Amino acid sequence: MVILQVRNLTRSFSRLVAVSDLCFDVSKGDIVGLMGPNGAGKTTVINLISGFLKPDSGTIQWQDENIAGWKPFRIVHKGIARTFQQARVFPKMSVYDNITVSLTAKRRFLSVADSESKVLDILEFVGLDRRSSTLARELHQDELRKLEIARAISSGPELILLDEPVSGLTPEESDSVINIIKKLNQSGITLIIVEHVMRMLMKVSHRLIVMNSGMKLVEGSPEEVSQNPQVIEAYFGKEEEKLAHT
Amino acid sequence: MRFKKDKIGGNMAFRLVGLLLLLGLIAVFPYLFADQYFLHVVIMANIIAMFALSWNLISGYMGLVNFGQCMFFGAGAYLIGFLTKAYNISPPIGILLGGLAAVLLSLIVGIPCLRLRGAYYSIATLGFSQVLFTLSLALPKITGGEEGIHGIPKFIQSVEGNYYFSFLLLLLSLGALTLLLRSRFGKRFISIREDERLSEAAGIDTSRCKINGTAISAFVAGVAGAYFCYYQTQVTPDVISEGLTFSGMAAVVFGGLGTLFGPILGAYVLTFLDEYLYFLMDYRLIVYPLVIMLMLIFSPSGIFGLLRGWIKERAYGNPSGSESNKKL
Amino acid sequence: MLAQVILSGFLLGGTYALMAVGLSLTLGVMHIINLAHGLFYTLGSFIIYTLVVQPKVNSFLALILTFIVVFLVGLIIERILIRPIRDSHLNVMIATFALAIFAEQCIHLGWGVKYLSAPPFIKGEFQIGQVILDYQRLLSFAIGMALVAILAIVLKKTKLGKATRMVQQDREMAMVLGINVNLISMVVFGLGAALAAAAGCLLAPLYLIFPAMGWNPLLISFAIVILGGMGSIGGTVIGGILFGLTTLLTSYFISSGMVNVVPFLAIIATLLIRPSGFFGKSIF
Repeated sequence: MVILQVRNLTRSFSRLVAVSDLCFDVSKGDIVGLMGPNGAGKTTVINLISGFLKPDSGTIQWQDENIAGWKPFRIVHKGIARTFQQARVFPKMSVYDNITVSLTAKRRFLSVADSESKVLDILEFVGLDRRSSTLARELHQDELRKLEIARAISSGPELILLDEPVSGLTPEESDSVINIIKKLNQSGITLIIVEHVMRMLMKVSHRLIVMNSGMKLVEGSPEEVSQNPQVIEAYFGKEEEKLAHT
Repeated sequence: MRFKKDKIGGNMAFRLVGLLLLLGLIAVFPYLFADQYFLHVVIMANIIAMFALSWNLISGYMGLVNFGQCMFFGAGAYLIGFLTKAYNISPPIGILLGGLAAVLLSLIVGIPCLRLRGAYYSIATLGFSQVLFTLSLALPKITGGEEGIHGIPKFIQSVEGNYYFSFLLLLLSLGALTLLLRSRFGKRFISIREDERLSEAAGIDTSRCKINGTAISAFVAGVAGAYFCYYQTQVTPDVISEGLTFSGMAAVVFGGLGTLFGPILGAYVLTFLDEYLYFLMDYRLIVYPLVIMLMLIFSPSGIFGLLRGWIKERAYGNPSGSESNKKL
Repeated sequence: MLAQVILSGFLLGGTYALMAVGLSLTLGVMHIINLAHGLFYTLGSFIIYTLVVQPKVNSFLALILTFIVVFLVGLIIERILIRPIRDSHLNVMIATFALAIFAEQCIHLGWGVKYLSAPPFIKGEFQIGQVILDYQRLLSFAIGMALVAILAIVLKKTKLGKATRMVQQDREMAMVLGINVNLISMVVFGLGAALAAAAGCLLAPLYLIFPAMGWNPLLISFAIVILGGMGSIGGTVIGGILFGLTTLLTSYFISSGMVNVVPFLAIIATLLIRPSGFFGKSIF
């Protein structure tokens, strides 16, 4: 069942076309990987879907409404959450408060006891329950990422957009995050993951969409995509050219 | 399992006893010291403390550094001036209306300023308050110009009465703000201050929050201004001047930005210095800003921050971590 | 005498522009709000008054001396007051505000609260048709514009200027490239102060001198910078002239009491329509 439909999404910055006429669907329960070389426009797509940028044209259909151009908090209330490329948290607040703020933003009338137990549940899910009273700025890199994911979960979304969730992490740390992602999906949450390292997406995604220079290049299963010559050229082609010239 | 955050003195009961003692002291004070002038200074300190609390809310906790906060105080004061000349209203209602007038102004000013970031917001608020200040001078028929409006009927006749009332207002404000800031709403303000975009991503309606916070800040300032007008039985353009904004800012900076009690402490210290060092006369405005500058250079968390650090060291032997700006 | 008002406004605006350019430097390069900018303007007027009235120093020489003195003062202030607290916009605003009040009071004690008047650089006036203009106004405008032009050249052509522009664009990158960012900050601040003082000197013979004279020009400078945008000297100059015009026209048509309202309404209107000024890029 298709829950997100992106049609003809376009956005430019001055003379740079960041996203051009992008179309794709996402079905409930999918894990869709969005990949492409640097500058392909992946983060822009996330920004457009989550309301941080307004598209120049195109529609984003979510639950029978076109949410293109909506304010971020409205989109969150509608059930889409996101993380950031560089893990963003409230540094001077504790882990516990970070989640509480976001939990009670949407569910404003939760009683203190209820919200406390929900926050703890979420922290347990990502493995941060023992760090709940630590200030966010004292966390390690992988804990920060987990906190971000916890924050995204706390608004009770149906779709989560993850922007490079494992960049900068060691293989063990990455695996830990990948486990969380899998658990999330098993509990019914749909995910769109942006990464520009193929390996991670291969392990996790059901489907891949490859972008280059703002446009969709190919779409398909991880196996199909990884064999596709256009994809290989997009990632490595330019490097080969560079090598040839030196 | 409840989460207790780290508090000085730890124990709830300990704090309650301390609070009761303080209240008791405040209550009996006029009977121990009958010095009317001293009581007057306390009243002024309470009013400035309220104003400082209001500025701290919007600038310290919400991060909207408002350089025109005096306009909310002035709105409350001038409203009383206008109203009492035309109607006969009961003072408590007048004070409430003063607060509401300030809230109305905060909407007029605040909504357009929503889209302004950082220092642009500060300059815009400065601009608004300066326009109002100029108008108060340039429209003598309405505002009484430089002279202002005089002959406003006194609310409470005795100095002791005013002493208690001013404490009532101050404690109510403090109580309300404490509840607010410790609640979820308070956390939202802080989160907006720390990272507005992230707050939006977390699902917070930042525009509405900012307007609410500004309105609350304005209400407190407006109530303080309205009461001030009744107490002084007159309103002059001073209530809407930059000097007042500076006093509020100085009290907060001196007492400790982003703490709950700091502004009150700062207000008391500065008001008392101001009034009792009158023999310094012209040198007041030299010492005062100089102290502020030195404070900023050497101890950004204010006297209260220093005190708290000192107390923590004594109580627990080791200072907690490296934060110098931890909230109470 | 509309033509006269217009012309005077134009000339006044040029000098305002000079002060605004100084502010634009501190704002743009150091990213701080300097609420003491008006103080430097005031200092300029008072110093030139003191030099010219008693020791009868030549006005032009006095201008140069004042420029140097205030430049040095600016350097010192940047080093002692601003550098330790540069990271917090709020603290810088409060500190410079406090400094301005402090200095105003000192000036008050030193020179008294009377309204003073400085003698002009050149005496005399000339007439074009119906319009009578004193040479001083024209001279102030000319020197002001000359200083702005010199600054523009320094920024574009000299090594110092290039380094300054690099710091303005990306402070960290500049540090990595080995530019002494602290030194540049000091120099820029001093320069901004000196330019404000120069404006103070140039306007001293035309208007009354008194300790609190700096606040209005301070706010006007902000208005001009916001209007003209950052990083655009041309925009600032145009903004300045517009300001001079509107100020004097307001005074002429409405009343001199409302004169202060104009800059503020302008700031507010600009910020609301275009939160980053009309020309140039946003400061923050």
